[in-house]
Amino acid sequence: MKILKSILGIIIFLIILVFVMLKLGDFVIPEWNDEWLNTSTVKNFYDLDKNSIDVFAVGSSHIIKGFSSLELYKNYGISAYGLGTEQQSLMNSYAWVKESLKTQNEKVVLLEAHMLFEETPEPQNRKGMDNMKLSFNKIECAYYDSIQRNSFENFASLIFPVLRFHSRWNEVLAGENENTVQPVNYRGYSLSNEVCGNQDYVTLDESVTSEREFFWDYEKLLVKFINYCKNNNLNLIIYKSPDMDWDMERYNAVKRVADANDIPYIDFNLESLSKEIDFLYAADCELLNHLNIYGAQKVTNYLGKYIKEHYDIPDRRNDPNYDYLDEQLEQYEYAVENAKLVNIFEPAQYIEALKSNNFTVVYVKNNLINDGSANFSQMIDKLGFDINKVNKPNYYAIVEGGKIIAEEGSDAPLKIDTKIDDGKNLKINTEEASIFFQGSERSNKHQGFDIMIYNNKTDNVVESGYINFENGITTMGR
Amino acid sequence: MILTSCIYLTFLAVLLLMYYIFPKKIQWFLLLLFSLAFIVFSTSNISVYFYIAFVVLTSYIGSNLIGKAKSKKNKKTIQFITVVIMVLQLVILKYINLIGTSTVNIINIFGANLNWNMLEIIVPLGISFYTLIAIGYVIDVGRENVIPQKNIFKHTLFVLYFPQLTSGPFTRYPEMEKELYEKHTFKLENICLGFQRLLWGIFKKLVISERLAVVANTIFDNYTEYSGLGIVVGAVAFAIQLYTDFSGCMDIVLGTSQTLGVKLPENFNTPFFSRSIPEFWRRWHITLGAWFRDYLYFPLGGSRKGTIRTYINLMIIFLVSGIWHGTAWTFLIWGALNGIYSCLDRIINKNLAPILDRLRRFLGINKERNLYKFWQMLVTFALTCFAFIYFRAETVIQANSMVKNLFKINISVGNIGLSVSDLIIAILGIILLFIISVLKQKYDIRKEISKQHIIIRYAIWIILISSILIFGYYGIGYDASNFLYQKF
Repeated sequence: MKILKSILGIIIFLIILVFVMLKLGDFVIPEWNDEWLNTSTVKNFYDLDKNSIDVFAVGSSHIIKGFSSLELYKNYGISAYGLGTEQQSLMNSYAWVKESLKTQNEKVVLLEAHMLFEETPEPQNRKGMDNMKLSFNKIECAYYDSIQRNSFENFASLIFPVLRFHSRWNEVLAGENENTVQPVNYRGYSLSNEVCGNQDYVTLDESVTSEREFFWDYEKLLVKFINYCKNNNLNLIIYKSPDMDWDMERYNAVKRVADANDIPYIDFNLESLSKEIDFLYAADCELLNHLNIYGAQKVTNYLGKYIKEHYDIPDRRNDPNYDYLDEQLEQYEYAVENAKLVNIFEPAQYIEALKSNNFTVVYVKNNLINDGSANFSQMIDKLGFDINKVNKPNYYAIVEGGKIIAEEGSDAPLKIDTKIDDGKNLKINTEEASIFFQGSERSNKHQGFDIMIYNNKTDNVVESGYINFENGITTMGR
Repeated sequence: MILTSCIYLTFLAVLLLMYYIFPKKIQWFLLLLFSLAFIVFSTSNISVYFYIAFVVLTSYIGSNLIGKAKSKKNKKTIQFITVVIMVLQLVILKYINLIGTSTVNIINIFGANLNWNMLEIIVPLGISFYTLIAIGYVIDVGRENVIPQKNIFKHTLFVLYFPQLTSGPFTRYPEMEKELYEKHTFKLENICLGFQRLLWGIFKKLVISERLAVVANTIFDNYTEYSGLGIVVGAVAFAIQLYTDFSGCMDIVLGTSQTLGVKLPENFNTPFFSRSIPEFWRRWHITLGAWFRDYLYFPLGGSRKGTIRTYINLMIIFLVSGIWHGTAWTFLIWGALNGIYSCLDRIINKNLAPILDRLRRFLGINKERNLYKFWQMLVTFALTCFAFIYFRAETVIQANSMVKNLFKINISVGNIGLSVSDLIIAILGIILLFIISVLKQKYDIRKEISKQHIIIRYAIWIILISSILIFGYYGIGYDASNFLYQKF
């Protein structure tokens, strides 16, 4: 009896200790608040309403930058979530799928194949695991990971992150975690508008028949993953984003396993599929071999179409329970609009884009030369300005949702102190071609019309640019 | 295997489960298996296994031959040969390069141009500890204080018992025979007190010692940039670093052993509260001091062969102790300094005692006053720290330079390598250590804690563990070193 009491005491103490260690971990785990969204993607996943997703995507950065859940909702009414983390290991993807079934009942699982042949570095692995709640799934994942790394310390610190991050205690006390601003997370998607312009990408050489070996024990683990999905009535789709580093040997290996297990494998690096989605690496990818918004839309929409055609996934667009997705989509579309604006280099297109309902555009004239030509008048006409006012030495205009709400031309310098978008301070000084907004100078002070574009919906300055007229031609820049 | 690592704690947890679940009669055998596993986990070098096996077999065969020898002369001869073999192994493995380079350097003074090619010898972890334990055992058998252990497995366990394997304490067979081979019943008190001590040891090592190591390393590695107070801070930081490191290690060792129900001898008794150097040596690394006393000092004649021989013997003990600590001249000088301190103390307190008493009376100094005691402690601490400059310095030239700069007047400490927050943690840790050390003089703190309400006990445990987890120097982001005494 005394021994039993002793053992009970030890067990109670150990339970308290585990709880304290987990809480200390929460205290010191870093917030990875960069474009890869690791922390918020995981935290947002746990905040999802129960049984609210139908498609669940897992994988590496190719999910973060290449799979846009809200694009699926917009075009197919699919409620999806992308749980991509940096260089997410296969065991981690597997664990996340298992973890998802605790709160969700998705019908389709998408696995991005990039990491099937790669080792996940320890720091990146932590980004996918540290915020996973302690569970048997996490313990199993940590176990696999530690076997692969042959490190027991790694296992212990994956379960108790305080062992790994305790040295950050003084940074946390100094409030470092709170100081960083995280980019917006659109259900696991990180929007990028960077265009790489790289012309080196080629689709797969389909004459190659050899295979590359999967990393470590991943082939067995992939089969285990597939079987788990089958046993839980999950329709697994393996897919591969357009990727400069992918090759036919990897394709062959994945294809063999997929075929052997009767699993669809969609590879966007195949010439036929690349053509079908009209993929252009130079325009659809950012510098670091990831899809930008244009590429993500192409890939995601193809996946959406495939899912709709092959599986019975309900359309949630008219379901009042999913109204929040409409709100998220609205914000997403504003962000897409912002993102796409900065990739316009054609003046006529740019002028049209500035007329968006969501923008407030501030113009200040800076040494703009009217050569008296019809082209100049045309440009002013397109902008909707009063040419008489524009012809004055000092000029400014504020255009909101395509409508001019303030416009003034004067011989004397103009100094305007006003507010836009419900009280945000704006100061204009035509003499210095200055647009001073929210404490910062936003004018490039370039010859022509200096412009600040502010999005009223996303509450941010999208960009500062200019429209100029030179030698009879309208030009633009930023 | 690092004693502060997760692997070690898991290793211990597994052993404890098996130790108390399996039949008691195999407990000693489990200890042996885990001791061997500890060695395997610590090193994969086959030659190390060979060296360890050599010590175990030599002491086993030697002690049993002594046991079987009929005459005293034969016993002494076998004892002598066995001890010499083990000492030779130790000397070859640890000191061959020092002896070689020193010999070559001396010869080169006379015009030769010799070169000593450093031999790449892997010195097994803790060799100085288990070899001395085995030597002590063989001498005890030779003295007929001990009946040799005939069971080679039990003998192996005595020599290689894993908690003490790498850093001591130096155990004696008569006290360990009962502890190691008898059956131990599960007692929650042993588990609690054992882990409590183990955690306190980890706290001392990871929270205090490793921070002070940064200070000591910064100052000693850039010693030319420091003088006056900077050197004082470096020496004091190192003294406390070494104490918290070694005594922390001993807390882990003794705590581990206590969870197994095996009592090991204490190795420290708040040495910085000593009021003289001889007292310091009775409170610092107690079992090493006792080993040298019983197996070297007394055989040399101790203090029974006249004043001069006593001083010579004292110097021999401290010089051997110095060289035992490390294969460098700095350790020899450190030992010599402590020998000189001890001789001077003996001269002052024995030969000059009447004069001193008269002087105190003349100056009106009361020996029993706390202020006087504190002064004595301060002087002892200062002398110890001074000697530790030689202990920590890489070369004699460095130590001499630091000593020279020590006496330059400079009250600026300079860069100590720690951030303000880390310095605050280090200071708070030292204050806590000081308070506990003071309380230890009057109370058995661990017993007192065990009498408290369960919520208070749990809170103390949780705070201690949390402090280690958050403030400890371990894992990525910190470069926690191994225990200093494991090098010796």
